[in-house]
Order: sequence, then C-alpha cells, then structure tokens
Amino acid sequence: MQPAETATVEVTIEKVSPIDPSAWVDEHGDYLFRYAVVRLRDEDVAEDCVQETLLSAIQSIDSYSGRSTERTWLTGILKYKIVDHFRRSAREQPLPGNGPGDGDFDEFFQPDGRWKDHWQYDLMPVDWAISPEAAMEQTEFRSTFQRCLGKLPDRVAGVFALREMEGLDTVDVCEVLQLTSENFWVMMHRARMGLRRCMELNWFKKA
Amino acid sequence: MMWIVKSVKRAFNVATWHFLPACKEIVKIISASIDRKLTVRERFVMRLHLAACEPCVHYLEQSQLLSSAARTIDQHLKSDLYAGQLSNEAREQIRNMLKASAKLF
Repeated sequence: MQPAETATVEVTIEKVSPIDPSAWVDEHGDYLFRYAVVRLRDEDVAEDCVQETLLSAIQSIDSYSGRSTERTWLTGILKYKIVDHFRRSAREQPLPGNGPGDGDFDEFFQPDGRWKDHWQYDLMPVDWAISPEAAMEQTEFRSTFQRCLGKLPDRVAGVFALREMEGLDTVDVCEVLQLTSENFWVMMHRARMGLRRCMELNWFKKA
Repeated sequence: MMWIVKSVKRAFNVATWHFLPACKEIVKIISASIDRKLTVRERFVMRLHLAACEPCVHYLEQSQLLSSAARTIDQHLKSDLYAGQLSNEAREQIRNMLKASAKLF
C-alpha cells in the first residue's frame, strides 16, 4: 500500500509543480501591480486588476502551456484586464468636448505679430542631449516620467498608455476608447506636448 | 564666400517661416510622424521646417525619446520601487482569494 500512495503523490506534484499559485503574490504581485499602475495611474484600480488577473489565472491554470514564463503568462492576462478597464471607463464617461484652446496649447505659441504661431521664446523645447537608452537608465528620469504621466488628463493618458505602452494599433485604441481617428491624433499630440513640458521642467532643468 | 552661404541660409529660413505653416501646426505633424506614415505634403513641409527651426527639431527628438521611454518602461519595473507596491491589505486579500479558489479548481 505504502509505495503506491507515494507514487500517486509524486505524479500529482510533478503535474502541478511548474505553477504555484500560493507564491504568485510574493513573486509577481509587485511587478504586476507596477505594470498596471504605470498604465492606469490609480493604485486601487491597479490592485483590482492584479486581483482579477490572478483569479482568472487560477481558473484557467490548465491553459498555461509552460512555453512562456509564469510572469509572461500572468502579464498577458493582466493586459486584457487593463484594456477591459479602459473600455469600461470609456463607456461610463463618454468623451467630453474639447476645452477651449487646450488642444492647441495656445500659450506655448506667440499670439500675434511677425512670429505669430511660432514658439514663445521662454517656452521653446531645448536640447536634452541624451539618448533614450541613457535617459531610461536614470532613476530620476523614470520616476519623473511616471509622475508626468500622472498629471495628464485621464483620456489623454489612456490613449498614450494603450498606444505606446501596450502597443495597440490605432484602430484598436479607437475602438477601446470610442474615439474617432481625429480624436486619437489630437490626444496623442496633447500627451506629447504635456509630457515633454513636464519633463523639461521637472527632470531636465533640475539635472 | 561664407557670407553668401549665410545669407542664402537666412533667406531660406525666413521663407520657410513665412510661407509654410508655423511651429504650432508643424508640431502636430511631428507628433503624427511618430504614429503614422505622413502624406507627401506633410513630409515635405515638416522637412523644410525642421531645416530652419531648432526648437521644433528638439520637439521631434523629445517626442521620440518619450515614445521610446514608454515602450521600454516595463524593463525597469522589477526594481523600480518608485512605482509602488501592493498594499498589505491587497496582498492579504489576494492570498485569501487564491486559497479559496484553489479549493474550487
């Protein structure tokens, strides 16, 4: 009797051993949370997404092929949860009308005169003189980048996150957030104008 | 000789600034250039403008840098404490939930 029982237990362990849900929180919890929070900019929502992700994962544990790492597999599920969240909030809060002038960032450009619509002298973008790789090596750059993302208006940040961080196609971003392609370009432009100004003030000028 | 080159360059800049769209329009084209293929006209206008306008060149470089930063941000998440971590309550809640579901499946 004894040897047979041992054999059964061993088989079970072997089958389950690549995945250990009880260790997920400690091994991947913080990574998944950060992954979610840089995109969603809200810690509570990010925590909910991580929770939903791990719940989905445990329910579909049989579908884990073992071909990717556990973290990659979990991150893949989290991606869906994040896109879902954006889809839901877009449905709940339809796009508000464009605020007066803020789409064009009028204050950055000269209002009249010979140089109308050219950069204001004190607001011109300056040379940061750094490669993307070198910039991303700086903790200061990365943390400021995240803070600047946090300051963007909700919908603008959502468009930027889905397009640039999640790598969704323009068409998919528009479908998820219920935007026209014209809205999409305006939002991406706002994101860039907002981010670069914020980075220039809070990272470049301080460095 | 140098003064001729300089005057020609100066004339080119002035012509670009005055006859083609100004920076306010160009930055929109620059933003778009990162996300999609520009039309022939947009490309033409952008190139001429960039040859004459340094701040817009920096705008392009900065936009590309931010784009690249966003695309590579995940590589640093493992160690980046500034991005925060799960709260203890959430940790506990998720652990309990996993325990409860593990029994079901």
